Amino acid sequence: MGTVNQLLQQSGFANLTWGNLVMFIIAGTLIYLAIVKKYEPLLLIPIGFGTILANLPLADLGSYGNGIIALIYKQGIRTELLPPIIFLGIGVLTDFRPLLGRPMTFLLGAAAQLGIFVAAIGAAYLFGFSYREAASIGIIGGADGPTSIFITSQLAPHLLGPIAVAAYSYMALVPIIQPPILRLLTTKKERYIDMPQTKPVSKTAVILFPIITGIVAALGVPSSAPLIGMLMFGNLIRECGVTERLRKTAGGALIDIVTIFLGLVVGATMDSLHFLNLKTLMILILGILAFAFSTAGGILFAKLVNLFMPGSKKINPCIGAAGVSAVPMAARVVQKFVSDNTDGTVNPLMPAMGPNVAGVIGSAVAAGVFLTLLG
Amino acid sequence: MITTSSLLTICISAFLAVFLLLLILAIVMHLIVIIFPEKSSAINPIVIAAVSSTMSSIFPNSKITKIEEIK
Repeated sequence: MGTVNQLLQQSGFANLTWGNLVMFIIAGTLIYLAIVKKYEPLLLIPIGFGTILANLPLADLGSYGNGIIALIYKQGIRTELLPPIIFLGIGVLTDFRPLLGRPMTFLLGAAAQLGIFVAAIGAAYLFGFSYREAASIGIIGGADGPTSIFITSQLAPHLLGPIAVAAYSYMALVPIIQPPILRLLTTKKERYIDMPQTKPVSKTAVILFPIITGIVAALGVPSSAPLIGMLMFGNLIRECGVTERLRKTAGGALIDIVTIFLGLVVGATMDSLHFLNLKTLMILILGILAFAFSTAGGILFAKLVNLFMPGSKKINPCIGAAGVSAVPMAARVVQKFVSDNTDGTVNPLMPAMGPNVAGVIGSAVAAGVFLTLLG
Repeated sequence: MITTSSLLTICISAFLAVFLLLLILAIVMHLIVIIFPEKSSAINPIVIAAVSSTMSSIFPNSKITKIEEIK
């Protein structure tokens, strides 16, 4: 009888806390959103299940413990290994031609990083976060999960769970967050601006782009090199036309494998001790503010540029909102918004893809600058 | 020791750095696109398709390597 008693006392059931149960509900919500609502399922499923694993008492499957998930966390996240590999895959999967056809949209991608800095300042001044924590929270405004994980693992690893969840959740909620801001900041006349198709870009230019961008960005902000370097390497093997096997692996099996590890490990940072606190709530509030300000930054900068453009070259300011780097969702949201508001006469999907992919570079550079100044 | 006011400086500097770097990239890539323009085919693609299908029907095992238009 004593042995049975001892066994029961050492079971997970006997050691469950209210915190664990709340985290099970949160994990269930993430899994529900992924399966039923199709919100970022490739990430929310591993994150949701990782959360369950981390909250199983005595199982030692949290990222901050000593089990196998912690091993992946220490070797894959703390060493900065996994996020750049995701960027390699993103580089393979991203077509930068819309950006090269209209290089001015690089600047819209830069303007749409505004939310990063507004949220960082808000986090430090209004909510009392440390600078390193504030910078990590601000990066949520870049709408780029791997970048958020990359910088947070270096500057504020204890906040990795809430920041990653906020970043991915809000990326999935771009179709809900952006349209009201687009409606507020643009006029009907502006939405009707129809941008012409860009001229085709030569293969030489497409191949030179990742090489030049990799060199310029890494020389300008060396801390951004792991992200930008891998992004551009991935894009080179996509565009050069002679590395088909590498392209298939990096854009397929490799990115899938790393996504599994990354999602599980991020989910496993969300044990009740680290997640259920006031800071998480603050991060969620700041995250949505960051997204909103980034969207507004892109739109307002496009309107500013239009002041200096001749009539035929004016840009549809709505495409500025696509500068948040949730690729390609932000561009699709802009396209749908403009199309719905112009009775289908204007469909700026390709023009919106320019700032959209520029935003990926912009948020990685912003992360690099933060790492340089605060790391 | 970083003071509270310096976070503002850090953010402004970082925002300017992002803008500057992407501006440089925009200028460089604009020049690259001008220097290496896409070569448009001198012959209409419809003509190429017509010639190719005609030739392959007459000479099934032949391979067309060059089509030249003399005006």
